[in-house]
Amino acid sequence: MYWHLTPNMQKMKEEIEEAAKGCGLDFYPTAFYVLDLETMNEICANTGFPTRYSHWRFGMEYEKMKKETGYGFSRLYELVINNDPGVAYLLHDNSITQQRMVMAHVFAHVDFFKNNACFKHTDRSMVYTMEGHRKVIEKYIDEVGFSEVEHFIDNCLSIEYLIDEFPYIKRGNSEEKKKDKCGCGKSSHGCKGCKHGHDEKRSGSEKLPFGLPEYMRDFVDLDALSNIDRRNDDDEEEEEDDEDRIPRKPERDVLKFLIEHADGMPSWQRDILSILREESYYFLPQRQTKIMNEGWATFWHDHMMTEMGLAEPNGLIDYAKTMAGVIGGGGMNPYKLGFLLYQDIKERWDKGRHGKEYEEEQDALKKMNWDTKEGNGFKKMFEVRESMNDIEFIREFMTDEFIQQSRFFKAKLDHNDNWYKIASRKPQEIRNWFIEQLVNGGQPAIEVIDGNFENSKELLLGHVYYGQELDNTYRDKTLARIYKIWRRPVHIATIADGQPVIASYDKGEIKVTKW
Amino acid sequence: MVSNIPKDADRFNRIVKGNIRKDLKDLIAKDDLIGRRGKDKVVIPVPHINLPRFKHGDNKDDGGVGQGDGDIGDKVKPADKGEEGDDPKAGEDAGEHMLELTVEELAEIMGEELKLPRIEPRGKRTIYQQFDHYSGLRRKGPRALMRFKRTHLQALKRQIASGEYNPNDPMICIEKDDMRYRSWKTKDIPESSAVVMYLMDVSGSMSDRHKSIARKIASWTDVWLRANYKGLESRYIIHDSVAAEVDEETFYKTTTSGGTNIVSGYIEAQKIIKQSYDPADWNIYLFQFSDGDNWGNNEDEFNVLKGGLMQALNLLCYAQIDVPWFYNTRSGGKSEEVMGGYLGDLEKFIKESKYKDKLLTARLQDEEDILPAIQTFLGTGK
Repeated sequence: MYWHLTPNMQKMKEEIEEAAKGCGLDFYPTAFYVLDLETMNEICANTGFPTRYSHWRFGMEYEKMKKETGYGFSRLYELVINNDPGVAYLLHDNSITQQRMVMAHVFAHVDFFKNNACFKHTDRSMVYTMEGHRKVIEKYIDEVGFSEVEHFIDNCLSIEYLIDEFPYIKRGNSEEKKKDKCGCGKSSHGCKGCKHGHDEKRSGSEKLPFGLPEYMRDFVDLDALSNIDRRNDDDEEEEEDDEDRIPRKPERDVLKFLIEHADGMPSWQRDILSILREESYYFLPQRQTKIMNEGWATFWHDHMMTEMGLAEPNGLIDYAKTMAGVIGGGGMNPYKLGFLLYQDIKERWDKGRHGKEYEEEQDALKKMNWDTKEGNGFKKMFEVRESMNDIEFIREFMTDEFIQQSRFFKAKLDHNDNWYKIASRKPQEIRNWFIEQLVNGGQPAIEVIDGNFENSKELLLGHVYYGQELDNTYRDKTLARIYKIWRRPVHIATIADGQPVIASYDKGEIKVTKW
Repeated sequence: MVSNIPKDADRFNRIVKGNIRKDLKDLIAKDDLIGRRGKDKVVIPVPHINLPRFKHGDNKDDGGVGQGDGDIGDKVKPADKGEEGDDPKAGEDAGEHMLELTVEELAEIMGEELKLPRIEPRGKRTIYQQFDHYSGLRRKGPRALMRFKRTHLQALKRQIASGEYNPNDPMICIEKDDMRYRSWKTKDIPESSAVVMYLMDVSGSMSDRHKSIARKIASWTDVWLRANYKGLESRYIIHDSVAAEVDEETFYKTTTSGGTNIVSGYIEAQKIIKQSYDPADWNIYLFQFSDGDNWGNNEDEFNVLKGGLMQALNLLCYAQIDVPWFYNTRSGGKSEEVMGGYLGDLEKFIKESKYKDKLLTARLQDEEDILPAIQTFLGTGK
């Protein structure tokens, strides 16, 4: 069951929209729907797209959500989709104050989707694209049969996340690319000034996007930036290597590699795999900016509700209670962490607590009362939301002071009595822990090393080792699934029990060899 | 907005049930399901429903980051009890799914898996008897069925509500609307038509494992039959050298020891039949569990069977549990060919008699054989 906004809520929405614009938020026009709990669960299980293709894992998600929300363990106030126009779903049971808060929250999300660099190349008409995907998949179900398609999708979902985390960063040897990639004159990016205040005029033919400093030019693949999908042609454009190795450089986009190089893959499978890859790239930025995005929305709804007085006087208690729920808990609650970090940024740039002079000040008392009346808090926040992702956000703004003030600690297992104990309060360790959780979404980084391994078209994957080994059971099962897609033996070079090994899957058997 | 979700959820649940089917053997052999009844809930963790992905191995040493006061070395939280190798999948993020089923539903799945025929209630006595029961009220009816107290009460209520009632001058005037009459409901009371007797050997030669296997078969048979057979009665008999009828709970829990005298069980069964179940009106089934290690040369048993018990029974299902038993005297301690003699003798005896169609036997060597045994007993749909 769903409803459109009542005239009352429509008025409310206009009021909040006005306030959000007043804050400097820049968002797409946004459509609101009000849903009952059941429909909300359904749409959430479908990741926000009621038009998404049919697959049992959405049903699984639904069963799980039904239990969680039905017993009141968790509560969803809203759901926003990155689309133009923005689409937002509100829960019918929200109180009026909660609806106001949620609307403010939604506008900030849509602003983030529209302006953050990570989202620049996402499909803004995803609602329709998803519907198209569903039709294609339904067509193939009609053609080749339901269980065929389901099995193939099951297999592909095992490697759904094996895509390039930063498709616009050049990998490997950048020298050879530089020649022909510069000065191509393509610039489709909303470059809104340089956040570090570098002189833009110095740059050659074109400004770097996202306000990147000039020295980054060599690290950025401009072509890929202007259109991620155009990367597919990269291999052909490059001059021939002596080596006939495919891929020439390790390829992080495993899905793309499979689509292009899997032997004897029927066209329907290629098509479905492309669809899944496209959807995976669409959701990627949301995983990369969880803390920033939720923190941003939480900061602005809080700002609007309290400081701008959007909460009715008799709704303040209700608001405070809801807010306490939103930012409750510790550690990795992205709402809370992001919210606090933005607050910290605002304070630091309002009072000028940054830069060399502040950092080198030794007098603790002076530091505590530091205030240059700089007043750039909001400006800095907008810069940050435009140009960063979670990893950069944490690395840059989770300062030692912030960690100390928040009383963060790192726990470790004491094997003597089997208790987790406080092991450290060193800011560096804590920051590193957060970043570890965020690199590649906390998932192992996998790349294609060789598509013609053993000179017999076998697939060699490589695990980019950052200190964490793979789970062996999952590794073997996943290899078995890739085998079904690649149709030839599959290997992965990784580290197991401290030893470099190659795990191979062939004809239903796993073999692990040292190398 | 047409949602795919109901379809997807349905598909998911079917996959889950399919997974249960794969694990059915282990589920059926689970100890804690013995003696559960139809509507009892069973919570089954369904493994492997999550999609395999490359993921990092668990780093147990890492306790994560927390927030709050405390010095280095202060305790934060205890580690999970299960140290290593202990159910590594438990509590895993998204994939773990706890499925809640009733025992009846589980029996249903078992039935589908074993392709057990639905037992059609047969026989002349599988009739529902109708009872008229005066239990309700209605506003209209014959004078003879009027309920005076209720009617007056109704009138009193009305008068108090409307303020007409004067406690000093109590007078009740009944109006037509106050009238209340008795009404009846017709109930279908199923007339019992079948009785299942479970006869278990609890002698000293039946180890705990023997008994547990016997109970598992009895329990699942019971659940399945009850789900499919309305108005089924169950009786439980245990015997060593003497027999006794016991209630369900005792049957599923008891431990005794002593010699083995199967005939005592048969005589007890015969007694129960004589007392309560006229073979002309009842379908009578006897499920017998033993290790087949009987005293004597089985003459007495066969005499009882011949002398009327077999005549009265629809079916005799005999499960002989031949789990290697350390102290088994007959085998001389060897674990192979541990076979109580009763099974062979019984089969031979029945073959020669006129009751050929009335015997089903199964021999169980370990828990693996439970499902096939159930299939043998219930598969014919008799």
